[in-house]
Amino acid sequence: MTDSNGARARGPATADRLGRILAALGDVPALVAAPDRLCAACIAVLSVDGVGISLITAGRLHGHLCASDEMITRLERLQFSLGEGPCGTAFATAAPVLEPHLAGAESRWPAFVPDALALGVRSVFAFPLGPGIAGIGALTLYCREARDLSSDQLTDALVLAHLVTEIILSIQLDGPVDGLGDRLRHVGDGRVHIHQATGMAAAQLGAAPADALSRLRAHAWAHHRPLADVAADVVARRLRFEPEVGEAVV
Amino acid sequence: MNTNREVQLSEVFVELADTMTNDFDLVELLTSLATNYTRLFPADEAGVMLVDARGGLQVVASSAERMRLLELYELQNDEGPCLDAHGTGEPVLNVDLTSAEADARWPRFAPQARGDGFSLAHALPMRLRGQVVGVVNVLATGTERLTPEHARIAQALADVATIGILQERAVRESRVLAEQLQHALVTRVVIEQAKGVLAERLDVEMPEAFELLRGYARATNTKVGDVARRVAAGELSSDELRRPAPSG
Repeated sequence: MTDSNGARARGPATADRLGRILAALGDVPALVAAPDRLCAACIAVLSVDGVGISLITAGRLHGHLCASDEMITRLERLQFSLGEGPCGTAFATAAPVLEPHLAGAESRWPAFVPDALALGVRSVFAFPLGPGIAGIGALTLYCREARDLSSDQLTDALVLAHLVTEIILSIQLDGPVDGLGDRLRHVGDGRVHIHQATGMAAAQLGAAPADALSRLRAHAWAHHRPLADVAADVVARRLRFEPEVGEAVV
Repeated sequence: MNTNREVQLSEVFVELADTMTNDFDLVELLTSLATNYTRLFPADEAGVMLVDARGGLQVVASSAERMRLLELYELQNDEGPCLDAHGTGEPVLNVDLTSAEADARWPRFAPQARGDGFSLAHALPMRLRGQVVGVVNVLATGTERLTPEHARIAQALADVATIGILQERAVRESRVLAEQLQHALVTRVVIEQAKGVLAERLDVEMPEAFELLRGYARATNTKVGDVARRVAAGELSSDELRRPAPSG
């Protein structure tokens, strides 16, 4: 089956997953306008007890974007003040951090674990936001029971992390909120280019990779071009990013 | 199969078996596997792709890093033998890229592959527990087809590589398949970002950037993914990358 762009849509199972998650998230423009409600919306997607979204810059917890309740706010702030915890680990490794049995994980986060257990948390699952080294934060799930995520729930959480990243970037860069689902459906579009362009722009700008990727996105939105096309121009050295002047077409 | 190829094949399987026991570098393993496809079979290039959480095929290793080749793999997210193998879980073998049928079936992929000089294509699904977790794409510029014996061995290599990915020590404790795949996928993303940094800093093309990462990893006895992370994060300068201090 093909969509209006002529590209083959993902198989039915994947399209269903994305559609289901978008439907459960609800009104995306409303979430962009009120991001403090994003965590509560995420609870509707996943069967967990709490959700927190933290923003991380230059390896340090920057603050939290939202938390689904007061206890989660405390747990997120705890990691911030302790300088350790699943959020930071997910961000640093750029990979999911799954801890189904927090009580046995004291060696991972010796300061965080006892405090988290005292607050009634028994399992934690943290997902980085943003690709590779260009992460902007973490989406963290908290449960009162010691439990695993099923493969299906894990995949849902990974897709949700992508959606949350897009939503946060739309907020931060004042970018378009419509077409969010479509952007995520075209999974094969030039991702190698985008990652390479992120590195090139970071070196050109002398900036952190997350900031470089934001600049690429802002350029794409400002010029109404797909991010993959802008990235292809950067990799082909048709487009450079200069720190003071702005973007220069070579 | 001739003796030389038998020896090569034995070496490949021994290398893959190493993944069960030692602390190994997944990137090197998969890159070596891709290269070995070109040595063991009538093939010129090969790429290993894994399925990510959004159901897309992402390149994690290739016999060569030139952009046109990576683009050809990536194009198969929309159409091509790899998409078909992903969907059916069955190998797609001996595709004649010069045929009218190929053009009809894959109106973008077939011409692009021909334009890159390829005349034959194969796609081998990487399967585990009834699920397709990735695909190996094999491309040839010649017309020598894979025999049934080739095909069996090619598929066996893909299956063993799948197990190798899942055995990676760091994620051995995880029981969830999707998490295990994430580490391989994430490592490749960071490598692409690092290639970009190096391409800009050193004014080199992407294949050379990749070889610099590999060379530094070998010289310092570290993993390519870890070197890439340091380069992409700005912790390892391009100067030091070119002149690594000897490993201890």
